[in-house]
Amino acid sequence: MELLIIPFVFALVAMIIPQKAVRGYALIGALISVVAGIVHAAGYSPSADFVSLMPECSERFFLNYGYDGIGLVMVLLTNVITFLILLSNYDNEAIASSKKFTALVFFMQFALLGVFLSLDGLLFYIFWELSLIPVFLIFLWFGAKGKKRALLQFFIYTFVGSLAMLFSLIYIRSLAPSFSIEDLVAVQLTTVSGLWVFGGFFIAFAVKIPLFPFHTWQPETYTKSPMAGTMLLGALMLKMALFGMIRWMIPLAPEALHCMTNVILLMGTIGVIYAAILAIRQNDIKTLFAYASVSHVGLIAAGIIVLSLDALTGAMVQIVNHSFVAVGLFLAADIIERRVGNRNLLELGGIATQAPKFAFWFAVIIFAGVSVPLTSGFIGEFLLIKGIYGYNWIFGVLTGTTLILACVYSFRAYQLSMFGPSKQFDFPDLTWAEWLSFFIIGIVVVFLGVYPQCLIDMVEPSLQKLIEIVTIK
Amino acid sequence: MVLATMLESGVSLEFYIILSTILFTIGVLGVLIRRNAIIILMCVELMLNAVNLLMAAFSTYHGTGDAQVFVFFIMVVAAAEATVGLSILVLLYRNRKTVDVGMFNKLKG
Amino acid sequence: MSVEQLLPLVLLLPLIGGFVNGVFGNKLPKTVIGSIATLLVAASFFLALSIFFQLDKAVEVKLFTIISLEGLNLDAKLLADNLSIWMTLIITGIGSLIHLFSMGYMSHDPGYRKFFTYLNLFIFSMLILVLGSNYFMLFFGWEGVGICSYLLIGFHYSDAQKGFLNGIAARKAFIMNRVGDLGLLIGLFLLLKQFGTLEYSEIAAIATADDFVNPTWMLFGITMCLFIGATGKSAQIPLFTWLPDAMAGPTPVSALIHAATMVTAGIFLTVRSNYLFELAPDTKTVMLYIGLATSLVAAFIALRQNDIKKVLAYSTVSQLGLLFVALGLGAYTAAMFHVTTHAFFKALLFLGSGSVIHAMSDEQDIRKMGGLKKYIPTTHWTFLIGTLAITGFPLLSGFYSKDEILGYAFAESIPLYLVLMFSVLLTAIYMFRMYFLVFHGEFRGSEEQKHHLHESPANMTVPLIILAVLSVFGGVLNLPGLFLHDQAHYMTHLFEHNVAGMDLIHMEHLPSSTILVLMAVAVISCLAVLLVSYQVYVKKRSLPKEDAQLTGWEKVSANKLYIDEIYNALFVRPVEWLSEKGYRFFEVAILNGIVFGIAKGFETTGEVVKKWQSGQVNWYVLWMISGIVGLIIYYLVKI
Repeated sequence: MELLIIPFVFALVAMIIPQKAVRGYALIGALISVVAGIVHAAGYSPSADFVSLMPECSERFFLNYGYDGIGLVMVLLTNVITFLILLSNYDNEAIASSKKFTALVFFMQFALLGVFLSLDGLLFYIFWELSLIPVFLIFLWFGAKGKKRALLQFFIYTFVGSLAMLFSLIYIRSLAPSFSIEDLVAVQLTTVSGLWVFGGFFIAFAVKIPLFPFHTWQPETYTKSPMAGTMLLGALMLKMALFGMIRWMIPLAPEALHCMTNVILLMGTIGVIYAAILAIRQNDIKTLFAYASVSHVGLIAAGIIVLSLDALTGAMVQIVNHSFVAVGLFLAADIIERRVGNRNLLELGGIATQAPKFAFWFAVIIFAGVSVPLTSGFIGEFLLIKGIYGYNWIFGVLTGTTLILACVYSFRAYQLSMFGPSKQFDFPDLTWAEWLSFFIIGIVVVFLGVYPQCLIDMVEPSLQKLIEIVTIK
Repeated sequence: MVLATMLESGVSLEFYIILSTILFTIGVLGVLIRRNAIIILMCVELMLNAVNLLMAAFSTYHGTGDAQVFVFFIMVVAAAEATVGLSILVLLYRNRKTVDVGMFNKLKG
Repeated sequence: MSVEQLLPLVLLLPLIGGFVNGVFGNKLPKTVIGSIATLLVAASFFLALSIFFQLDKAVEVKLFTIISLEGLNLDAKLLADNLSIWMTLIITGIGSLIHLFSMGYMSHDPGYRKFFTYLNLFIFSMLILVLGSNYFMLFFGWEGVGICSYLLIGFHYSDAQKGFLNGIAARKAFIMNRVGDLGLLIGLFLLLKQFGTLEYSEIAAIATADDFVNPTWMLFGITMCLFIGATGKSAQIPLFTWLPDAMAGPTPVSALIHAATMVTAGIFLTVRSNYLFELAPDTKTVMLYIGLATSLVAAFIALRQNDIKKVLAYSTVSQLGLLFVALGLGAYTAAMFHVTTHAFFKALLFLGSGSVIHAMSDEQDIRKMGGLKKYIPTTHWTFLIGTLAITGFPLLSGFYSKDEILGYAFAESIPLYLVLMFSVLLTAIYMFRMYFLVFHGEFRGSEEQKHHLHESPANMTVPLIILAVLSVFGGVLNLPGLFLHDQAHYMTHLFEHNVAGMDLIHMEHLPSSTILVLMAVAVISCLAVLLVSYQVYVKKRSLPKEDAQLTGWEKVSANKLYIDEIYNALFVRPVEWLSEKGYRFFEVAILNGIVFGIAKGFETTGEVVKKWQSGQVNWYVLWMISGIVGLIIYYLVKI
């Protein structure tokens, strides 16, 4: 219960506290959420059943929410990433001291937690849509020039997708006694109606993930939005869709899988290669990272859909890894942009000599992004590619090229910005808040790279149950 | 009770139907033809009351009270609508110095 | 301490060194940083040595579980057997010498701390690679050394003229390695599919069992994938062009990573998996010819290179090709023997060239050197030993190890032997050419350089001397009957538990007269090249031509067979073209076009429909009422 209430209360209170205290208040609030998440995680023993958080008296309402291993991981991830977002923005005076911003981030956290915790179709949908509001407002109030067009595109695109999901939900609800996930999963669909239900969910998720060819809103949105918005989008909102695939789409309509697996796998694979190739020659560092993100999540989606235990586990590891890496990459991009006033790679260079700490941490993030061993990226991609390979070796090899292509664009971006003789601009090294953000990211990424088993233990029973559901149906 | 007496007194249901139809048609025509916003509002009220009358008549005819409940609802809504509508009109008048709906064509595409 | 306790320590010491230097190094003086790094690697070496002497059977130490899923168990587990400890000894032994050398070589470099941190991390990764007990650990180390290599090649990234090019070279190395890594990764998946495990011992047990049915294609696939991985890391055709470029790194790096240790990872992998390769003879054939071709091509290119490090780099590629020929012939022990001696003399040559470059104030062009023997005598003598060792001069280490491989080739087929011999001859030609051009004749550099010429400090010459001694006597490691009675080869005995198949020692069945003849041929050809080179470069004072004057084969050799250009045209340009055109004509024009086209469609529809919006309330009401009336009529008619 408190998981949801804490961010909500903090979002409300943020509007009335004095201006000077906002930054500290934000960090404390986020930290409390992190602690609450950790308390839940500490008391959790992995099993496939849901731990309900529903209050005793509320059975008449649709407030069925709770978590299993996957949900708990996502909750923890949300809380930590929210903390990181607030922390990494600490030095961005205009944003961090804004009450509106702080309130919106907490509100976003509330909505995201709602998505990850709902065990009820309608509740899920409500929170899903609710999460659009804060992100929309953050873009609107803090975005860069030319944001309106990008914003509208983003909003309409995702909204249309969500609408399709709503139809699917309503349809499947009409066949079930209630909106609760157990009832919805129990519904037996025919292949055709399964396809409709699946398709509705899929459109919503494909837009948000985003899968090729629904990704065009992403680069534009990423470049125009403020850093915090990009982080929220890249690190958390996309994960809602991936989570949605695991929690809702596949268990609800596995009847459609035999038609759709190959389609989604193909879309994911094309996305992996296509986005990576486009990223190679991008000169705007944010656009480049946006395409990199498309490439990475394409792989995750492809891994989820092949539905083997190793690929699903890999997907979970990679979801966590990608969130941290995304925050790191966009933080790095923002640091460069704020200090140099320019995002064009061709005009950057020589930063490493001026800011060695920044260069080091940026390199760590880049390495995690290209899935070097000892980072969680490697574990994630290893399991994902192994799973896809086990499903179909051609797709395995094709998605495996991400190992090569990711190096090409990541190292190009890194070298063009960091290496070479130092240029004219002055580049102060990291502040403590930025350093701490990078440090936390680095620790998590390396820890999960060396000992991913702690994460795997949490999610394995639920994933196994998922596979079971699909095989039974 | 008055209506009940009237029914008993031999005024048959048809008369009520015809009367409310006439009232309703007058209301519709008023809304369509007149351009004075106040008149239009009054015509809307007329339509509502026509419906009220019909409902009350049917209620008595069937001997159940359900429809009369709705009559009260409609009266409340009509009152609310009149207040809101009139206050909008006052504001419109302040803006345009007229209540001619022909002048309010800002919604033109 | 027992092996179980020592083994993790061997691995951890370099990591500790890297960690301490990396985190606290900015507060420490340079000598302390260098000493920490060097001493920890040396300590690791001595621990490994003590393991080596008390090891009587393979020991496995499980550290923790990395991934445990249904049907997939990957442990962080270490394995100590003769093969892995032998490699550990080479890595830490030569590694500590090179650390020592670097303390002098890098002493003026602002990135001193960073350098030693990376170097220690490299040793750590390399130890994971060789000490891991399964292919997953090997892959960890495999990629880890790739990263360290990347960092160290691009070490001087901020250099005003060459900084950017260094970065490009580093990137090229990493990407090419990654291509191989993908092959290896797929090999891992195939192994998992076939054997259900990645543990060496378990796979070996299954593959060498009597009732093992050989799935020919599967094993061909597995071994080919492993070999593709090896071509990346060990710089074989088609993935060899990164290694010469990798010489952009500081010279100790070239010595440690790109000559002695990392590039032999591919050999290690093959020897580790030899029981699989034995089951896939086709792969062995492929390996043989790829190795042969690499050996020839690299030797040919080396003939007309003028950068002292480039020559050595191509020589490394060529030697690695030779090693793959040995592996293709199934001569695993001979390959390990040559890996060992090659590590000695190639590290020596690289460090020697580093000493030369140091003396010449960072000049690498051999056309600007000459007559250096009287200025830097220690370097000269050790370099000479290295040169003689690599060319197979009698009684030096290279002579034994190379002859052993040549002997296997001879036993296989005589044409193969002749081609291989030709490659060996080329090696002698370019090595003597370089040696004479650098150390003999007149000094051709600038006055300023001449003024600065000096012998390197002791911490640079001591490693040279040690390596020179090893290069001279390294050959005795595998002499028959020296360490063991009844004429057995020491290393053959050492690796007998690691190496499968019984046909591996067939060279010993060659009649001893044949062996003597082969030796004589090798000796005579080496001496002949030595004499001819002496005549040409010392007596006649022949100098390399300027680039513009080169014609025919010389031009092709100097331009590296145009392979970089071909790769650019075949792979780099098309991908860049795809990226640019794909963005402009597909992403922006088509995909974005469709999205905005749909939006535009709605907009146009709106423009049309809005005409119905008259703005007159009465009309709206009329539409509404007609709608209602229409509905009523519809229902009335329907009934």
